[in-house]
Amino acid sequence: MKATRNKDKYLQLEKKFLKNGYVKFKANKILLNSLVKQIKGYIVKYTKIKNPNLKNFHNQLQVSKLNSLRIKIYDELNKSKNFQENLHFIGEKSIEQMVGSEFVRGNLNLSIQYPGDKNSLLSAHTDFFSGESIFQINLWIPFVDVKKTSSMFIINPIKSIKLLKKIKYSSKFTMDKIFKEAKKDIRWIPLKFGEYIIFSPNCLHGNVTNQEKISRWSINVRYKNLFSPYSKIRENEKKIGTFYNKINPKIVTKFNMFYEFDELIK
Amino acid sequence: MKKVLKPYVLNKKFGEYYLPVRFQNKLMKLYCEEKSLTYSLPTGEIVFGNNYIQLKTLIKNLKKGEGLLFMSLSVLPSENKLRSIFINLLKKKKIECHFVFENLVIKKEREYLKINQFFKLIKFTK
Ligand SMILES: [Fe+2]
Repeated sequence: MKATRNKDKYLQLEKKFLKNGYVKFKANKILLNSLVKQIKGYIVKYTKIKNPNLKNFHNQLQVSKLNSLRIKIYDELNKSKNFQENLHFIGEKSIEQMVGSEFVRGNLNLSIQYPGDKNSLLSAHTDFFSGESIFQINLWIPFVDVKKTSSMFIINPIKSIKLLKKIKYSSKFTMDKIFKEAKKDIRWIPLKFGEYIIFSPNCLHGNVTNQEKISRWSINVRYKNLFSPYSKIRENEKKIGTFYNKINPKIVTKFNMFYEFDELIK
Repeated sequence: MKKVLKPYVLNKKFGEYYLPVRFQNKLMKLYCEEKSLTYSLPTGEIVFGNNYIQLKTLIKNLKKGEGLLFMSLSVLPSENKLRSIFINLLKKKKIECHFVFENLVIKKEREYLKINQFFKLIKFTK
């Protein structure tokens, strides 16, 4: 009975992901709160703010000081085993459903978007614009409620492919012109604190100036299966070690890393 | 006021070279510091396709007083016809171009000639 229920859930997930290019999940609130607590701890460490309020952070720290604080927190998060483990526990099951448990992942990227700030924008793009693997998924988790322009947008796979073909083959368009046309296809993803998404970065995605009243704090992480294809560009560094720096090999892979059986089948 | 340079980067080989973008950015930032120029956010070309759509968009959106920064002359299209289209666009808007590897700055109209001369010499010496 349980097995059938799990299979049904999995099939639903698959259907949604194939149609929309993303799926929403619920995060464990205890773990999520511990992530927020840790981030707030770093804010206290690096600023004079005693009681950080993520939502209203634009009233606590001026925008000119934001990026240098963001970089300091980014460094801390990427050093903190505790933070990375908690984040992993949150996403573990969904990542496994998407790419398997034998995965590689990139750094944790932190983004903070103040209302009206034009400095941290990311125009519509796919991650393989820069040579990343098409077998990658991104986990995107906000630490405040997000909606409309305080969130990220995505364009579904069918419409993304249409636009990407134009980008690849057209000689008369500029990116601005193509994206102007794409505006109608944009889908904002509203998320409550406690929810996160996994999306395919092959679909066009990005953000615009945050026109809501709250600051947005979010983290995104890239995952792919250890053995799925890497960058198509031979010399591109979006590979193990240089881009995916956390590797989770399973037992048989470790076995072969340890012994030299591979030398015998050359 | 300091001149603003907009970097343009490739995530694939340019000529005989390859350098991960994050290192290209570091070198370009350093270049701007050394020459007292203002560095701004880089634009990366799309790795698939050969229409240089990001470069075209970048040139089109360049404001007065802004120049372009390239890692090398080899970043420009190697195909003569396509390269000429871009050189004409640059000339028309009088865009100052900086090339880090060659330590070359192109400002005046007649200096744009140097771009094609470079590609010719590369071809002769291959
Ligand atoms: Fe992205």
